[in-house]
Amino acid sequence: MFNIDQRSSTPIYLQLVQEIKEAILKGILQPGDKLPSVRELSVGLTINPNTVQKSYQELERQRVIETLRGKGTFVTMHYQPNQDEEKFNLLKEELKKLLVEAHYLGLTRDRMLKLVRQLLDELKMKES
Amino acid sequence: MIKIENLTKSFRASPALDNINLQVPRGSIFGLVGPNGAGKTTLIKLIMGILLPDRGRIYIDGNDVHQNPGIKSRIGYVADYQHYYPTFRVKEMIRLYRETYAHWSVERFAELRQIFKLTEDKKIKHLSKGMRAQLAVLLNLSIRPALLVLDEPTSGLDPVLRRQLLNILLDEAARGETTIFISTHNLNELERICDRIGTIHNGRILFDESLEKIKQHVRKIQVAFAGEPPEGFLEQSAVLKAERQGRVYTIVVREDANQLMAELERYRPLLLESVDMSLEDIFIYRMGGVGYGFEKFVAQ
Repeated sequence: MFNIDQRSSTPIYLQLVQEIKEAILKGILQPGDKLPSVRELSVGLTINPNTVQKSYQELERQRVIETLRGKGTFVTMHYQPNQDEEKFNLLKEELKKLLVEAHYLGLTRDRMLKLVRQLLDELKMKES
Repeated sequence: MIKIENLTKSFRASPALDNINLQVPRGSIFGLVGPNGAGKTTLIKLIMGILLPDRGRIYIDGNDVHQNPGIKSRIGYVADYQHYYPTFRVKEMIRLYRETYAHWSVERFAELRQIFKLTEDKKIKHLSKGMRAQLAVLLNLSIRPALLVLDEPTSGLDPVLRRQLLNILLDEAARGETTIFISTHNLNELERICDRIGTIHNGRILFDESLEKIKQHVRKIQVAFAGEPPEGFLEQSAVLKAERQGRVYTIVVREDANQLMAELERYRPLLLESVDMSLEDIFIYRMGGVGYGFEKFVAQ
């Protein structure tokens, strides 16, 4: 279900956090769905169990998932993507870099906007 | 848990291990890497209680291996080649372990027995390398080890068996009862499964860090300029190593090299990108830093 690229310089636990969030955005995982146990995911992806644990802790901290004692880990019922100022700025910077690159690639303003819309549709992000 | 304090060992006049200090928490996986002859096997033999140290102590779950040899019944050992009695049949080997190790678990054995395809009537000498490795893992996990030591466990295994073995080790670590210590040359494998990695060279532990940390230390970028490169950009302190092939410079830089990147950006380079470094790249780069490298063979 999730893809881990061990060559990437992004730490494996962050990759897993991203992958799980993406799965929720795409609706592959839905609010209330049960996530695999740490052990299952560790063996399934061949990654260290403490790495999986760390990802789950991070997702819990961000209130994306919650652990119910003795029952397992679930996608939070009312998952609200939070607007962390710092993260927002970071995202903005990243986006800026990509836009500069797109410009050097010769992409027009319209094509860039079209591309963003297309990707949003692909990820099934709804207008709110 | 393994705790090693001021461990020193020499053979005659030649030092093999020099003041090793190391701690591996229970339920975690530790990877030991290092060039041939660095002292990996000596360290393993000391942990197993096969060799006596000149100085220092090794504790397994609080028991000094050399003072309380009873703890050895809680140590599992999977060697790179299994020297089991060649004329024994598999079932006799199983019986030997069952009757030798006090903590042998019938349930755990039954559970693992379903994973491995072993013919119990076969003689050890008729087993392939892969089958021997499977037998060793089966036996050494069934003794419910507090510590499992593996020396090059996946060498000579096909990809299917290798993945299976790694998953069994991960499952064992996830149960939280066992400390796993792996010595290997296969860095890509370690990358996925280890909590921490220790690098040993000339009998010393050079680095002992989590993988994330290792990967954060250094970064590799590739840059190419249309005309002359900016003067002296390779002399900056953030640059650790540089190689040139035609127009393209491959430079290893410190993680805090953003300023350098921004500066290079202003020269409108033809190419400026961050390249991911695998653990193997980092290892080779670092061993080069301590005089164990092969830069001389790289074309300038």
